[in-house]
Amino acid sequence: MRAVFVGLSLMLIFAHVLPLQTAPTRWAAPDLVLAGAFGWGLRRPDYVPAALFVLVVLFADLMLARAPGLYTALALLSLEGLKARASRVRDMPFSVEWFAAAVAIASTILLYRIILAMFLVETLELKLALIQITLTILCYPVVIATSWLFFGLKKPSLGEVNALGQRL
Amino acid sequence: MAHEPLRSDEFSGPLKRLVVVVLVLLLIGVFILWRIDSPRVERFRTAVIDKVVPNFSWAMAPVTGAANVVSDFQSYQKIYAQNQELRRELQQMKSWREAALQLEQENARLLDLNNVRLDPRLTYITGVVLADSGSPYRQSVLLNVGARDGILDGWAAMDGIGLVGRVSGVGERTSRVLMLTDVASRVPVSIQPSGQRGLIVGDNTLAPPIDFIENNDLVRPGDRVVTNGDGDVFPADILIGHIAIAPGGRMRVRLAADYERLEFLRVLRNYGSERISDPGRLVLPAEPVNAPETEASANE
Repeated sequence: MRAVFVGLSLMLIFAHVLPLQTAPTRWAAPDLVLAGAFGWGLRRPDYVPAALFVLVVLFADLMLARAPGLYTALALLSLEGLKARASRVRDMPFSVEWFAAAVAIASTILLYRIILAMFLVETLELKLALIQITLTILCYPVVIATSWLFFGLKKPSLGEVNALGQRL
Repeated sequence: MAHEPLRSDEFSGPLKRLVVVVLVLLLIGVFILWRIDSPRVERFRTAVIDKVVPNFSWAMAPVTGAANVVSDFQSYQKIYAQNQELRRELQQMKSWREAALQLEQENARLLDLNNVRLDPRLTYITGVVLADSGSPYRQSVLLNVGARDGILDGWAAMDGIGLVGRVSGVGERTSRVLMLTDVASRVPVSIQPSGQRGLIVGDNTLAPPIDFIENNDLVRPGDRVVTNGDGDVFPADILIGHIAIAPGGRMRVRLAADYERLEFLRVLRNYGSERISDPGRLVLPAEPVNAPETEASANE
């Protein structure tokens, strides 16, 4: 499943760089890599190990012309926060999970913008970032549904153990 | 909690946390390194993209093609209206064509009379657009020509009609073109026919504003905007677009290049204009070391 996560993320990154739209747009595409990783991390923390996540997002940083490292660091912190909360969120309804993911997504992207501004890197149009946050949050249920339908991602059932016999 | 047998979580938990902390510190280090020494990190970025993207061009080309077919198909819905419009425009074009032909002949005669040599070194390399920046904040495209094709940083890239941007970042097999619409793009221009000079400042919209014009009154909507050779940024007189006035009263450039669909770009070879550096022989005698050699070669 870790390989599936990496493969899906790479596909999403390549979909981003396809030269379909070369004129500037009024809206920003959702960051599906982030939504996917957060969703998977909340449901099955063992599928999204920190090192793998860092490699994927750092690669996205390089490909998508972002300031390398910063976005990855913030996303990693959010992901670890979600993972720590995963066992508590597991028994809650979906809305709670969605809210947790939404907070993580919004804080990642906003902090990224704020720190860039602090380092005097030119950024523009907070509007685009807000649109991106909103779309990413709205896409979160779709991402979860897709992963559940096509890749069988589900919350670990009671008493399920991993390959080493540890409880999930 | 009742006593449980020791679980390996209790040991791996802190270890994982340590790994995360180390990773975060490393990443922040990378970011700070990028902020301090951006050219080096950007070269690394270019190298990574250079390794990865050409390997996936086989996958990208069909997907891009299919998506374009779909959007082309959508445009069939409007085909009747387009056809009517094209007919009307064709009528106008015919008269313009006559005028253009006459002007071309006249121009050729005049050039011949004046014995003008157009710059023969302004040739170009055509590249295919492999990928775009993938980010709504950055406007750039990746071409499939790079250092092995002789591309240098800073050269101008245009589609058939107008300037698109400048090469910024060259890999072995790929190069990145920073478009005029990017927020980092600044291009010195002159406005014809008034000859006013200005600067096009990219702001992530399709019609970048034009700043630092000396006398705004001399500039009218519809005036041609072309590059000037200032600062050796670009060769002079490449068409960029036409002036338009935005509703806010700000002057913007309606770009001539078709940004909606960039497939092929021409990169203009530009080795810079030659500079006159020596004072000339009339003012100072030739350097004594070189003088005998030139005489010897002249005698041969």
